[in-house]
Amino acid sequence: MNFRLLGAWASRFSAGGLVVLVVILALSFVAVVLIPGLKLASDLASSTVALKFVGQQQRNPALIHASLDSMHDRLTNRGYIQESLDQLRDAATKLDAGLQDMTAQRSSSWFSVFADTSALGAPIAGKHATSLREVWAKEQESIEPILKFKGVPYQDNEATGTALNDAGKQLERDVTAASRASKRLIPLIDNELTAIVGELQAANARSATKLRLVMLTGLLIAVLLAGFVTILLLARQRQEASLREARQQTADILRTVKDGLFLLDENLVIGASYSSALESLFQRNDFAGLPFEKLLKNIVSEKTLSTALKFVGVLWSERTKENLVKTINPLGEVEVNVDNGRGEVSTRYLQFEFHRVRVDGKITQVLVSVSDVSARVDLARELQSSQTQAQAQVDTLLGILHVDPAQLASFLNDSNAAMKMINAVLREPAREESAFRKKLDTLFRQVHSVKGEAAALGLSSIESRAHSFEDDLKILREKADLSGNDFLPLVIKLDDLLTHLQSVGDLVSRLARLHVAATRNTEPDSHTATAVIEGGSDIAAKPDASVPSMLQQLTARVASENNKEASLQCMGFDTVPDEYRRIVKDIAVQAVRNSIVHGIESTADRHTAGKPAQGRLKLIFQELGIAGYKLIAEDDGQGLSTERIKEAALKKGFITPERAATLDAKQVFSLLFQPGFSTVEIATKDAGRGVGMNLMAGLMQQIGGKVSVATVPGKFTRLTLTLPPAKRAGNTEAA
Amino acid sequence: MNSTAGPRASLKLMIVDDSNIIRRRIERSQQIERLEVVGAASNGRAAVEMFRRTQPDVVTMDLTMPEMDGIQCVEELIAINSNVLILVVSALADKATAVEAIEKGANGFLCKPFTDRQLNDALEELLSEA
Repeated sequence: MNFRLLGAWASRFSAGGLVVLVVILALSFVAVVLIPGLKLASDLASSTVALKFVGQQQRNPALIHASLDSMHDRLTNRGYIQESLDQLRDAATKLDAGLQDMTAQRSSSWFSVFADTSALGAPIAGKHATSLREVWAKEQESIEPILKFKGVPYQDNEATGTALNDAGKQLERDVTAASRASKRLIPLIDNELTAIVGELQAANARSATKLRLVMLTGLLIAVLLAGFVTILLLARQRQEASLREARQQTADILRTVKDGLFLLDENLVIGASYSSALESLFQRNDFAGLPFEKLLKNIVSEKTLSTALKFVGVLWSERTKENLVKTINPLGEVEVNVDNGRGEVSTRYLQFEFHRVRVDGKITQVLVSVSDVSARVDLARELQSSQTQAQAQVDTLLGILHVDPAQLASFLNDSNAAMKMINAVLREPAREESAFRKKLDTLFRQVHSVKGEAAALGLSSIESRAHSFEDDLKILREKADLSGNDFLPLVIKLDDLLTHLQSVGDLVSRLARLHVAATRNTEPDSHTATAVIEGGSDIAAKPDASVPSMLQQLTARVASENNKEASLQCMGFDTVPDEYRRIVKDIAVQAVRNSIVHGIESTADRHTAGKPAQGRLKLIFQELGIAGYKLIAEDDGQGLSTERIKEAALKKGFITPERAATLDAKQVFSLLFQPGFSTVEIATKDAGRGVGMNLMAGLMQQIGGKVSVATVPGKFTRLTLTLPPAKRAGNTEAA
Repeated sequence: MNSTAGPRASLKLMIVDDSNIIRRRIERSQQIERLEVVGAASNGRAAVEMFRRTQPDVVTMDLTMPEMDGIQCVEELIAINSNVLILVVSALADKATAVEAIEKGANGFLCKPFTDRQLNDALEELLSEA
């Protein structure tokens, strides 16, 4: 038999089909072979027993005949007859019993475990039974008188010797008759019995043939069975091998895959198989049977946890469209804090994805894949920050483009100087509280002036950094006990401002090179930034020529930011000596701001007061010859109100109510020059810090100048600053 | 219901949103052939009332609305007809609220703002079987 072919053929069946085939074969083996085989075997055994039995019976008719003959002889010879009579009786009884047994009606069982004479039952004995019974009945009739004989058949007398008595004579007649009948009947019985034996033998032979056939069939079925079982076992083995392989592959995948994979059952409990990556993602290894809730607890917020559990819960509902709820997955990108096993908590971003697992269309599980997307999130943030940075650079560039190059150059020069000054101040050793305070004041003035000028030029990126620096300084100013350590954070702020100023400087020099290349049509030279800027300054004749226009811009900007209208008139700025250039500019900036924020009223208020809508500012610089210089800053605003100043001073704790009552106007105005004093409630970048006037006073003090205030409420405010002759400026440090 | 409806059988769509612009936008942009707009409501109460009257098969549902919010509205619509298909169309301000709407029986979620394609894809997905 070609097993390979059989195998190929059998492989078309499923394992289940093959099993059914084997079972059918086994059942047919029982039905076709075992049961008929057993029946045939028992038939055979029965007929063999029957043959033996019939064989035994066959002797009896002959014995009867022989006994009768022997009795006849003995009666003739006056011999002893008892032996023959006993023999006759015995044979007759046995034959009678045998025939009774053979011809009796019996329940024919299908097969019997114990071999008996049932083979003589109906089919075989049936047709012979009648004739046997008839013949035997006749025979019995003829031997009946003989069997009944008792006593002795002879009588002795002297004359004749031994002779038959009456009974003997009768017996002799009977024996003769029986013998005669037997001569006819016994062969009949013999024939019947022989016929029965013949039939039994024939039946036996038939059974044996059948049995052989059955055995042959059995052999065939057994071979087939063995074949199929072998195929089945081989298939099973192959199946198990591929199953093992598949299991191994699954294990390999789960061990190697970078994502955390696991299954959740309906109770949201994690299944027994999960990927190894899960262990490193969550720093635990007790996943099998762990409720999802416990996995998330302590690594995401309470709210996210409860939303997440609900979300996974709705995935089990057939109503929910899996693809239409992906966007509301609360674990789409979660920040988790996981203990890394060494007692350190690391923050990572995990992405959980949920997929329904269906078996026969029914949702049985939810596959969860967890991946660490920290790198992606970080990258996105980096991108965002570099975009912001680039945007800021563009903003700065645009800011610079709006500014007059000469003004920008002058601003950068001034602010570089200020930065150097700030740096020097920060490095200066100091121990005393008063020294720290002095340091702070100097820093403040420098930063404020940078901020003021940046604001005037509309360089908001610089202005905001300077403003933030100022914020820090302000906090320090309000602090009770100052120490050197308090100044450390300022270095960072300074660095930030410095770096930004440098990048602006770089941009400016690049632009200048472009400008030079374009105008002179020559190759860009290797001038440094400062050189180019200085070159730019040369072109603009006198640097201060740009101050009035810068102040005009500042006026327009501050006015619009404060929803006011204002115009500025500048006079005599071309006569400002180089020594005072910086100071005059700073004071002018401060004065413009103060006038617009505090002096000029809103358009509506001005209308009510009968003034033109546009507020008027005047800045006049005058040379006084030997007496030095004068800077007048005037506005036609609401003037200074002593009441408002007092009120604010009281509120901020500059004076006590008792003192307020005794102050005259001059003393009240002097409050304006106190550090930290302001009449506005909320500080903006233009005013409110209470810094400007104090700075102004500080500057004047530095050069030995004087400040005076003249005001008429509702009409005007005029600041008059007297500056000593320029030559004195350098050596008059403190007045 | 929709399992027995062939592809040609027409389905009724009701739009619920308090923004007139969004209602018009959905009505104009949806291009599913077998969907026919039968009504639009600007708040939950009006939606329930219209739902009873027009018996739509599909509903797009905003979550934040006056009178009755979307979540309660979803609950009431499902109580009336448990076979109705509901697509929540809302800004994704709070995932918890969106998940709650799904929990109450809404079938899916579409995040505002959406493109025409996103709207049609979502509706297709909503009408798809299994």
